[in-house]
Formats: sequence, C-alpha cells, structure tokens
Amino acid sequence: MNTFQPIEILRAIPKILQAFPMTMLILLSSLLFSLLIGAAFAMMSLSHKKVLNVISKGYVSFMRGIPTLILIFLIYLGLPQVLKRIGIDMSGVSLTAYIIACLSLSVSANMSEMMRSAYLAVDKGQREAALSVGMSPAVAFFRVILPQAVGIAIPTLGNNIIMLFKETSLAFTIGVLDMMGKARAVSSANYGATKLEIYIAAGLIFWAFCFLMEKGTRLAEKAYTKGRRT
Amino acid sequence: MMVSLKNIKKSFGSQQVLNGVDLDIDVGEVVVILGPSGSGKTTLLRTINFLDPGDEGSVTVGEHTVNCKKHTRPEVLGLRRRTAMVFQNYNLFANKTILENVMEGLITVKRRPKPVAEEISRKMLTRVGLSERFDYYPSALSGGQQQRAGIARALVLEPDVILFDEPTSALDPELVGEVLQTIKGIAETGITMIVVTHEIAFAKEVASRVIYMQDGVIVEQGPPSEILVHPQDPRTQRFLRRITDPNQDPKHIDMKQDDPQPEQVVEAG
Ligand SMILES: Nc1ncnc2c1ncn2[C@@H]1O[C@H](COP(=O)(O)OP(=O)(O)O)[C@@H](O)[C@H]1O
Ligand SMILES: [Mg+2]
Repeated sequence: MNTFQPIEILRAIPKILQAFPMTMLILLSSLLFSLLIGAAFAMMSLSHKKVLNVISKGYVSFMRGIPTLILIFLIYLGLPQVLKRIGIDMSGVSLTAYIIACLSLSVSANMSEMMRSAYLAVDKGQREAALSVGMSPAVAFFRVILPQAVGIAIPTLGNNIIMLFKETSLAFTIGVLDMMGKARAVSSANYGATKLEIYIAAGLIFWAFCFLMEKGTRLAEKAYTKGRRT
Repeated sequence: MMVSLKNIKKSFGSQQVLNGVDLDIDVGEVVVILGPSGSGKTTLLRTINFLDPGDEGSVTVGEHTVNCKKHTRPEVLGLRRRTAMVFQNYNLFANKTILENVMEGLITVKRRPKPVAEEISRKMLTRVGLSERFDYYPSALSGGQQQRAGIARALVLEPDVILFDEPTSALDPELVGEVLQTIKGIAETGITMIVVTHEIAFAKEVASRVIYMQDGVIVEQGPPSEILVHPQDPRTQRFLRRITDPNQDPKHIDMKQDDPQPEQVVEAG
C-alpha cells in the first residue's frame, strides 16, 4: 500500500488533458450524429403514419433501455462478425469510429424524445397563425415553430450533452485513448502506484467541464430567449 | 360576391358540428355571427381558411373556389392568401417582436423586400395605435395591445376578407373598447369582414348583416335593425334575451341547458 500523495493529482491533470482533443472529437461527432438520428426518429414519432410511430417508439425504448457499455460490446464485437458473413470486412474501421457510432445511437434516443416534446410544447395556435397568414407548412415550421422549439429544448439539450460527455469515458473499454483511456495509461506507466490520485484527477477534470457546460447552457438559454417567453 | 360558402358540413368524430351552411357575402360587407357557445361559429370560420377543412361543400373567396372534400395544397394556400384571421387568443408569434409579427407575412408570403415590409408594417402598427411598441415581444404587451397587433398582422396582407373569432373574448373588460374601436375603424375602410362576437352593441353599430347560428346551422339572418330588434325565430329571441341580461356572462350561454326538446318533456312527465 502506497501513501496518498495529493501532489500526484496535480501532476496527472496535464497528462490526462493531452487526450482532451480525442474526447472532444468523440463528443462533437457523436453530438452531431445523435442530433441527425434523433431528428429522423422524432419526425417519425410525430408522423401521421402508424407504422413510423411504432418503429420510432421501439427504437427509442430499446436505445434507452440498453446500457451503453453493452451496446459498445455488441457493436464492436458482434457487428464485424455478422458483416463478415455477408462479405463486408470491418477491419479497416477505427476504434474511434466504433465509439462514435455507439454513443451516437445511444444518445439519439434522448435527442429524439427531446425534439418530440419540444415540438409538442409549442402552442398549436402558433402554427395556425402562421398558416392563416398564408405560409406553407414548411415555412411555418422553420420560421415560427422551430425557433420556439429550440428555446424550449435548450435545457434538455444541455443535459444530454453533459450525459454524452460523461459517456465518452467508456471509450477506453475498447482501447481508445480518450481522457479516461489516457488516465489508465498514465496509471499503468507508474505500475498503478498513483492509481487513486490519477482517477481523482480524471474525476476533477470531468466535473470541471460538466460545470462549465451547465453554466454555458444557462447562458445560452438566457441569450436565446431574451425578452420573450419561449 | 366576395365570399361564398356552399353546403358546408363538418363533423368531429360522431358529432356533426356544421350541418350544411350556405352563405354569400358581398364585397365590403361586415357580417357579425352570433350564437351560443358550441354552435359551430369557430369551426365555420376555420373551414373558410381550411384550418379545419369541411367534410363537404365548397368555399369561394374572390374568384378562387376550393372543394372541401377534394383539395390540393396549392389551392388551400391560395385560399389562405386571400383571407386573414384574428384569433381569440391573439396567437402572435412569440419568438418575434410586434413589428416582426406584422412583417413576417409580407416577407415570407408576399415576398416584399425587407425595408419595404418594414415601412408598411410600421405604418400599419401606427394605424392601430402601437407606434410606441414596435420592438416589444408579445409577452410584454397587454391583451388589448396584442390583439391590435394581431389585427395589424391580418390587415397588412390586404386580404379579401378578414375573419375575426371572438376578438375581445379573452380581454379584460376595460380593454375591450380599444379593440372594438380598432375593428370599427377597419370596417369603415370597406374591407369585407366576418366577425364572431358576443358584443351586441358593436353588432348594432358596425354590422351590415347579423347571422344567428345554432347547432351548426344558420337560424336566421338580416340587417341588425331586424335581427337584433325583431328576431323572428324563437331560438334567436331566447338567445338575445339571455345575452342582454346583465347577470349573464355572454361567453357561457349554453342554449341546450334550458332548451329541452318538447318530446323529452312529455316523456319525462
Ligand atoms: N378539434 C375539435 N375536435 C373535436 N371537437 C371539436 C373540435 N373543435 C370543435 N369541436 C366541437 O365542435 C362544436 C362546435 O365548436 P365551435 O365551433 O368551437 O363552437 P363555437 O365557436 O360556436 O363556440 C363544439 O361542441 C366543440 O366541442
Ligand atoms: Mg368559438
């Protein structure tokens, strides 16, 4: 047993931060894709076609119910084998791409729910007023409904991004060198002697960024809805 | 003829809300529709601009006719561009200032350049007494101001007909006057209007024709001097008696409550 050395926490922080760009790459790419996938399923859930509603509901329920770690193993270990059978070789796909795919899928369910409820939260009278003015449904959507729905969704979006940020730490499980992977690497370079200090450092870094994102969300909400209600 | 409704029928589920409404309105007419709550007044207005398409019949505005049963998107759009609506709850765009609310239709629908749209909109807002409020968001205004902005938003599009759905019903009593005054001013410019309201004094003064509606049909219609003073149909008589009763809140008149079918009375006895 080693004695606890607080100074090691400070030493670990810059080392872990070396992997910050990788974490950001995973975060931003997953964010982008989860928004796109989420938008597609949100549209399906709001459609008048029953089949699409059912598909969307099933997808959201599955993606919300399955632990992200299991999804990662399923896709990382399982998908290449399945695809090999039909002659597709996945060996060229980078580990980072797997993680981005998994996180995008996992978070897209929450994004879909976020968009759906924000859309439904915009007063129906807004759309009717836009249509009565002579706007086409598409123009009414982009000029009147969407801007208000975005205002409503900002707090939830902030939460979803924070959640996604924390889940990027699962990337290490398949060997990606994100901040968490880096922390593990630093730890084993010391033969685990400063394990605790390093994980405290990692925890502090994640917490600090989450704190900033929370503040950022508040600011964004305030700036966006300045002077009006939605 | 400016507006022509032919045999409009509309049901919600099993409930028949409009039972074949025929209505012809001339250019410049101010038609006031009266009727107890639930009689289908709002639904009738909404079938005119296809916010709720009728199940049967046809709607003509100007030279533009649309069949309720079989209509295309461009046809409906064309109809909406010839009409404008003023809503009971104003329904101003919450994400836009008052000025932007009025400009929005000019820019997106009439494709006016922004500076032109802005100038026209400022004039229109000044006309309804909101020259001090251009850059306010709707939530910062009183109900009366919001409704006047709603009227400006409708008027600025120069529609063939403006549809008013109880424009003063959601207002505090002290704000009703300013909005009615605004509507009266617009009526005097000769634009065709259909106004659903419970304001009898306003109808008397401004309407060129009063329509009494109940249970999804037009019960009787005529100039205000006839309908409001010597109504022929007992249903109209009863409604007017109740609405002019100072103890009665006109928004909550429900004719069905004390209007039992004679047969039922016999059976019950
Ligand atoms: N979207 C709707 N879905 C179901 N029923 C409706 C809908 N809109 C109106 N109704 C019904 O139609 C009847 C007439 O409503 P409405 O046209 O609003 O009456 P009014 O404006 O004269 O009070 C009412 O019984 C109302 O409950
Ligand atoms: Mg109504």
